[in-house]
Formats: sequence, C-alpha cells, structure tokens
Amino acid sequence: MVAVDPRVQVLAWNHRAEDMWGLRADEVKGRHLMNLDFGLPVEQLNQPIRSVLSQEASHVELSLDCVNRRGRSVRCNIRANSLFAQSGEILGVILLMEERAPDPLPS
Amino acid sequence: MSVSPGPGRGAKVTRGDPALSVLLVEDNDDAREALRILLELKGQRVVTARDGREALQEVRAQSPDVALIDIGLPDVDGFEVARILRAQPENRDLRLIALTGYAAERDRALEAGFDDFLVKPVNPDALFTTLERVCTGPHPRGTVENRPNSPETRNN
Repeated sequence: MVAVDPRVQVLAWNHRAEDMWGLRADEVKGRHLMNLDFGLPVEQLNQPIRSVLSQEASHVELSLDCVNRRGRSVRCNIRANSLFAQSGEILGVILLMEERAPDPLPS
Repeated sequence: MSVSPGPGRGAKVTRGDPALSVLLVEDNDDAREALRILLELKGQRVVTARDGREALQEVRAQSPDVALIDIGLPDVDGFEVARILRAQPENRDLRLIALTGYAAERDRALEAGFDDFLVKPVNPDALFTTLERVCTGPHPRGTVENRPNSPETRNN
C-alpha cells in the first residue's frame, strides 16, 4: 500500500510495497511518486491519481504490467482511493497494489 | 480501468473528528500494517495487538472506542474475544467490528457480539464507511438492556 498527498508526494509506503518494489519507506517518503524509478510504470498512474484528486472519481481500478524487485514481469492490480478530511478537503490518494496471480498455461 | 462515481454517489471517506481510539487486532503483519496506516492517515489513534490475549489486555489498558478484530486469531479466536468483551459490563460502549476472509461468518460474528463486519482484504471505502456507521450515534446494538449477548440480558 502506498499513499500520496495532493501534491503526489509519498505519505506512506508499507513493508509490502518495500518487498514488491525494492525501495525502502525512508527512501521514498516525501518524494514525488512520478519521480521514483522502480518497476511500476508510474506515468500510467498519473491520470487515475489526478481523477481521484479532482474528485471526478472516488476510486479508480486498473491493471498494469510491472517488473517486481526480483526482476520478474508481473501484472499488478491497483486501486486508487480518495482520502478526505471531515471538512471535505482531500488529504490524498491511497494506492492498494496487488500482484495478480499468473494466468494458467493453456492446456 | 474501472472508475467509480465521484462524491455524492460513491462512498466518501471522511476523517473522524475528534479522533477515535482504535484497537486493531490482526495476526498477519502485512494486513495489520496496511490497516494501521489507513486509520492513522485518517487521524485515528491506533493501538495494535497480534492475538486474542493481547487484545483483551489492550482493551483493559486502553479502553478504546472501537476494536477491529480478526476472526482467525491463533490462540483465542475473534468470536471468543467478542464473547469475553461483551460479558464485561465495563465494555458496554465498546464498538466491535469483525475482520474475516469469509462473508459466510457474518451471522456468527453478530451472534458473538460484534456490531458489524468487514470482509478482507478490506478496501478503504468499506473500512471508513463501516467505522462511521458503527461509531456515530447510539450504540448499533441498541441500549445496553436490549442488546443480545449483553450481561444484562444473557440470563433473561
């Protein structure tokens, strides 16, 4: 799980994200997500994050081809979810990421 | 890519104010960390426990507003934790939310004394909507006198 603030700077990066992408939380917190270099094509997350931040959508789900920290190509399911304050002010976007199980080989 | 409706139609996630004191009981490290981060991003005060015994100790020590309790705990399971807590009059205002991988456990969870139920993996909308529903207004299980499984009604 990763969370970014309205400026798309990383607020939270959990151990699972460290394990998936090989970047430690203390390396990425406070940095702009789009400037991070890891196996997720972050440019493809830009529009979904903007949609959630602009409140066009409360959440967006997508699936991306990625390379995990072991160098393996994987498909990753991502859910981008808005996080609001009581005042209605948007606090950021939560990104839930899950490696999708490989499709079964054709018999 | 699937896009949900914007605010007004979709569930809006709001920060609780004032902050809730939340006990999170989950033996899976990844799940516990993800839920803790979500709750803290919302401004809630979070205490965690890894098993049922630790959960019972933390309820005594912290008197949280709400406890999110995994059903499949390694020692005392979540059903038993809920039964023990509901048998203690000092926990009459404590809200209990079950966390489980099996939707079929809903009725059993409510019977054990939980106020509501979340299916794992928990998505943020469901987490915050359920917290808001359970923690605002009167106790979801009614007054102490007419709550099922409460010490006041159990032998009636």
